[in-house]
Amino acid sequence: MAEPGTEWWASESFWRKCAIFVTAFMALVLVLLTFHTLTVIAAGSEAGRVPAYSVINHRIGYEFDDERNHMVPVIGPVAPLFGEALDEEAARALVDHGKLTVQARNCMNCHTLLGNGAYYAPDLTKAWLDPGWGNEQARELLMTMFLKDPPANARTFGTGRRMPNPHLTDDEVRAVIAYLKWMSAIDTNGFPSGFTPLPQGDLRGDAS
Amino acid sequence: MTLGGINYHELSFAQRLSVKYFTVAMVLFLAQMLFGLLAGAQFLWPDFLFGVLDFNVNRMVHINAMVVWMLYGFIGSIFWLVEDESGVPLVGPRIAEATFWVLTLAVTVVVVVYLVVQSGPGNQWTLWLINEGREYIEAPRWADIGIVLCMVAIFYNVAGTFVAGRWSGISGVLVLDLIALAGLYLAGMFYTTNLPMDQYWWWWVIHLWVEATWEVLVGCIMAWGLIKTLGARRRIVTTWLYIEVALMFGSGILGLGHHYFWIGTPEYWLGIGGFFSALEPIPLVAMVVHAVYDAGRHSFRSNNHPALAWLIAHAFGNFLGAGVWGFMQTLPQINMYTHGTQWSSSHGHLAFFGAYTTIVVAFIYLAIQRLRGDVWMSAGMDGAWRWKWALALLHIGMVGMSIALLIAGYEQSFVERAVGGSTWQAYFAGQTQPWFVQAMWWRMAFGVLMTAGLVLLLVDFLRAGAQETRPIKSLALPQAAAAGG
Amino acid sequence: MVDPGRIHTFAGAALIGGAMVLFGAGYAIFHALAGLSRSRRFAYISLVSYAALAACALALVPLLDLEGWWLGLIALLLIGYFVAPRFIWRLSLAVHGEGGGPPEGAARPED
Repeated sequence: MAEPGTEWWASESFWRKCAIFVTAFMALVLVLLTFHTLTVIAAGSEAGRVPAYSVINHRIGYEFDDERNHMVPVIGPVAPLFGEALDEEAARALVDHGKLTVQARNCMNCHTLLGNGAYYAPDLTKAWLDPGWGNEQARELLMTMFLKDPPANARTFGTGRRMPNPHLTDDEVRAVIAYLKWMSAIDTNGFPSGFTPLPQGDLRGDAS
Repeated sequence: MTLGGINYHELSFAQRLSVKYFTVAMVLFLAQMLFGLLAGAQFLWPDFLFGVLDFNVNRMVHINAMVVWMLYGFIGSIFWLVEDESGVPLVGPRIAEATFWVLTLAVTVVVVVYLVVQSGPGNQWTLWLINEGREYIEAPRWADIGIVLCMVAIFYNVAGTFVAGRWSGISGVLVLDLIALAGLYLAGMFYTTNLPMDQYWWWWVIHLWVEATWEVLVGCIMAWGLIKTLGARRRIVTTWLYIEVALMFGSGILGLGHHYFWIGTPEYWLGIGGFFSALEPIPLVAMVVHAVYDAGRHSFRSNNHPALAWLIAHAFGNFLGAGVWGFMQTLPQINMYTHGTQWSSSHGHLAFFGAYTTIVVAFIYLAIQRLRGDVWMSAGMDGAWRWKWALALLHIGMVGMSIALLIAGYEQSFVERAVGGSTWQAYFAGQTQPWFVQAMWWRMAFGVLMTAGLVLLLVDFLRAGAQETRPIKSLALPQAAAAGG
Repeated sequence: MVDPGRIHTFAGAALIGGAMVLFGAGYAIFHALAGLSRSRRFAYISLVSYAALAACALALVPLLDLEGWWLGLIALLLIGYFVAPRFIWRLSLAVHGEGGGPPEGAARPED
C-alpha cells in the first residue's frame, strides 16, 4: 500500500496495524482491570469498599481517615433498621426492592446517586447520614413520613422545588430507606467532598 | 434529475431510507429541544406542570430523544454511503425497510409510555415494560431487546452489502465499530442490586459509546464525506482514519477511568482516569491540526458550503466541548467538587452538540444536495441567510447556555461542596444563590434562541437549494475522478 | 485527597486546566501555520503558547497540591503536549507524501 514518497511511519499499512494493536491492547487492559474491579466491588468483599447488605443491621458512621486524607464510612455496632435484624439474604432482598423502587420511580432523573443522575434535586449518596434529619432517633420516622407524602413534608429552602408524590407503598418506603442506608456505607473515596454527617452515636462499641 | 426540485424517486433505495431516518431524527431533535425547554423552565418555575409532567419525565425525554436522534442520524448516514462505498445495491432492502418501521414504532411506544405511564411499582415488571430508571438508557427491557434485534438487522444489511461488494479501509473500520457499538449496549441490559456494579457497567455503555465508538463512527462518516465533497484522496483519508482510531481508542478506552473515581471502585482508577484523560484531547487536537494543514495546502473547492461550515463546526466543537470543557473537570482533585453539579451539565451540552449534532447536520446537507438534483449549494445561494442564521443561532445559543451552566456549576460546586459540606441544606443554599438563579435565566434565554435556530434549520432543510439551478457538475473537481480506491 | 486549602482554588484550577488545553491547541495550530507559511512570527506565537501551557501545567501543582504520581503526570504532560503536536504536524506532511516539492492542489483556483 505504501506509495513512493511516503515514510513507513506515515503509511496506511503501518497505521492500520497501529489501530488494531492499540485498540486490542487497551481493550485487553480494560478487561483485566474489570475482572479485578468486579471482585473488589462485590457486596461484602474483603476489600470492604462495598459493604454486605446486612450492613443495614449496623450503625453507619462517617469519619476522617488520616492515612487516606478523606472521610470514610465506618461500620459501627448493631443498630438494626426499624429495630429488626435481618440475615444477609433478607437484607439483600430488602435493599434489592429498594433499588428496584428507585429505578421504577425514575428517581435518577432528578437526583444523583453516587453523583450520577440529574441535578434538580440533592445527591442521595449520603442521604442516610444527612444532618437534615436532626438526630439518629428521629431519622427513620422522619424519612418514612417524608417518603409517604413528599409534597406535604417538603422543605424547599426557598427554591420552591418540591418532590412529587411517588405514591410508595409501606413496603417500598422501608425498602428505599434500607437501600439508602446501604448506599451510605459505600466507600466513595471521600465523595461528596467535605460531607459532614449528622451527630453520630458510638461507633466503637460491640461491632459484631 | 431536476435541479432544485425534489428528486426523491431518483435516489437509490438505501438513500430513500436515509431520508426517512433523517426525518425522524429531526422530529426527535425538535422534541429534545422542547422537553429541554420544559425542564429548564421548571428550574425557574418549580410548580410548572408539577404532578403532570414532572422534571424527571421531561429530563428523561430530553436526553433519550437526543440519544435516539443521534443514532438515527448515524444510521441514516451509513445507509446513505453504503451502496456508494460498496459498489453494490443493499442486500436486504425489505429487511431494511421493515427495520426502520419497527424501530420507529418501538421508539414511539417507549416515548408514549414515558409520558403517559411515567413510572411503576418497584418490581421487575416496571423495568421490563415501563422504564429502567437508569439515566440515558431508561428504555424498558423489551425495547432494549427490540433495539438490539433492529441493530442486528441493520448490521446484516451494512456488513452484508460490503461482503457482496467491495471492502475499503473506511468500511472495515465502520463494520468493526458497529459490532463494538452494538455489543457495548448489552453491558447496559441487566439488573443488579449492587449499585457500584450497576454504574460500573452503565459507564461501559455511556462512555465507550460517546467517547470511543461514536467518535470513530463519526470519523468513518466524515472520511467518506471528505472524499465525496472535497475530492480528498482516499489513501490519505483512510490513513488518517486509522491514525484517529489509534489515538481515539488509545486514549478513550481507559479514559473510562475518569468515571470510576467515586462509585466505590478501587483507588487505582484515580491514576488511570487522570492519565488517560490527559491523553484524550490529543486526537481532538490532531483533527484540528490536520484541518489546518488541509485548509492551508489544498484550496479545496467546496460545492456545499452549509455542509462544510458544519464540518468545520464539528472539528472545533468537538475540541472545545469534549477537549477543553472535559479537561477542566477531569482531574480527580477538581472532579471531587464538580462531579454531579451543573458543571457536568455544561460539559454534556457542549460536547454532545459540538461532536455529534454538527456532523449529523453536515451530513443532512450533503443528502439534501443530492435530493435537490446535485445543485450547487453555495454561501450565496437563494435563501442562504437561513442556513447562516440557523448556524449562528444554534451556536450562540449553545455556547451561551454552556457558559451559563458553567457559571451555575462553579457557583454550585463552591457553595454546596467546598463551603457547605455537601449536605442537603448546602445543596439548596447553592440553588438559591443569586448567581445560580441568574444563570438559570440565561440558560433559558439561550435555550429559546437555540430553539429558534433549530426551527430555522428545519425550514432550511425543506427549502435549501430549491431555487438553485447551477449544477455541481460544472464545478466538478479534476481530482475527484481520480479519487477512487 | 481532600485538603481544606484547596477549597478556594479548585475552580481556578479547573479554568487553568481548560486554558492549558486551549493553549495546547494554540501551540499546535500556530506550529502548523508556521510550517505552512514558513513564517517566524507564527513559530514564535506557537512557542509562546507552549510556554503558557507549561505555566498552566506548573500552576496546577501548588493549586491542587499534586505529589507523587501526579507530579509524574504533569511531567509526562509537559513532554507529551510538546511532542504530540509536532509529531502530528510531521505526520500530516508525511501522510500526504510531502517531501519539499510543490504542495499538491496548490494551483487550483478558489471558489
